[in-house]
Amino acid sequence: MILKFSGAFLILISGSILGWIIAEQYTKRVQQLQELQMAIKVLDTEISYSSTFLPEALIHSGEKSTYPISFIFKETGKNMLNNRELIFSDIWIKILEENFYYNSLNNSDIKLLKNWGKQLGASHLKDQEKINKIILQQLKQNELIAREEAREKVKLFRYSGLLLSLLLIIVFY
Amino acid sequence: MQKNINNKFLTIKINLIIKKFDKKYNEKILEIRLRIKQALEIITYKGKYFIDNEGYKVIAQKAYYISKDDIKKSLLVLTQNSIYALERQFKEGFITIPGGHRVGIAGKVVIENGRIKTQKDINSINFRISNEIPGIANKIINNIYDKKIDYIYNTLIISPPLCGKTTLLRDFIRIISSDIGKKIAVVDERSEIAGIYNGIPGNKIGPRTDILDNCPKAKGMIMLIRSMSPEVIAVDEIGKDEDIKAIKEAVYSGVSVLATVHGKDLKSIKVNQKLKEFYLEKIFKRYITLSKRNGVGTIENIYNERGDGLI
Repeated sequence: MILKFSGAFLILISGSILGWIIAEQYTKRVQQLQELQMAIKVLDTEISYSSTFLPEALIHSGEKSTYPISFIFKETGKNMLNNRELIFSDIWIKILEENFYYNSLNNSDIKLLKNWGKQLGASHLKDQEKINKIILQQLKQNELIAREEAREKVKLFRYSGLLLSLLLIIVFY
Repeated sequence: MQKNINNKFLTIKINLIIKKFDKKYNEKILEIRLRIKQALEIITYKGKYFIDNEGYKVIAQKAYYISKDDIKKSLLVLTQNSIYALERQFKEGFITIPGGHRVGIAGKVVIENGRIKTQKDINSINFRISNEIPGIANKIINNIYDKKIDYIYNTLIISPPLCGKTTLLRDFIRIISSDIGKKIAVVDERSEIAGIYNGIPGNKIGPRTDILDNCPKAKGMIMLIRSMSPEVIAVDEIGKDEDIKAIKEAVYSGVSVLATVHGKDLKSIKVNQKLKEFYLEKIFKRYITLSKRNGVGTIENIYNERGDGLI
């Protein structure tokens, strides 16, 4: 009997946690998209006002963000300093792909960031300002979509986790 | 071992070819030229060569052809992916990298209000490798330095491009600063003489040398006279009206001037509208002419203020 109760309890806890984790991804994506926009704004300021070289600008903007966005920016900047013969977009794309499962950004966000990376640093100041303005608009758009998704799905997944685990308990017991 | 360009400033592909060339021929490289859809060219002390993938000297048709992507990647590597941070350098047409190497760029010039704003669509990159040859000026230093009165004569080094003007000037600076022991100030407009990068000189320029880096020559000379009380001032590639005015001001202030200028020989100074007044007013006491006749840095002659050859 105790075994049955323990089993049911474990199913209930695991199901709820699973639902909670999935739901959390939606919330985290919104937070990370906001964080990303903030980091890009800092980067844009470094580029526009002090013409800071890209590796240092990435490190500075990474230092003003929180994990995992901070890690992506700082790691790219450090890699650039350590591998001068490599170009930014190659390093950026590699780091985005390596860290895909450590953040909550989805394919659409990553695609935007990859495209942005292909243009960043590769043209004159005015172009850079335009490029940064466009990526900020696109990320804002993605944030609005993510917010809507989170509003619809966070509760759904949290309750689904709980309800599915209850269903499993009823079926098995 | 020759002082070559830091391989971190070339793309992996081009660097590999240069390394192969270096290994095969071990010739001192003066220039590496990348031109879009043209053969990769290397200029050494011995000649000009087109190079293939394996670093061999070949005819143009068999050489490695520079693609648009090579130029794009080279620019990104060169600028640390920060083209925006080097707009002024693009406008001037060159970027200086550690070691005092100058990288010339040519593309589509953007004009704004009648002035060059910048360059875009770059189609040609020229890595000019700065050659530091300590000791090159040893044998002629006595021609410009009078030991009895402890005085450096105002000296003008004249030569066409790539004949070793800056290399000779740099060694004069080193000798005057370290061996003769005079305070020497350098206006290094293109960061080529001292090879300053991030504030640190990359070349041997002596312990008593003050460097004003990346500063227009004329303004820099006046600033240095006022601020650093130099006994000698050195500048590279003079030619503008304001340079001439500033040199005269320096000379009249009692400061010795060492300068370089593009020209074939002393005659080219005598007939130059702007520069002839130096000769007529006997501003410079020594003129040194260089050529490539017996290799880069061949001293053709040294003249006094009257134009009499001294060697």
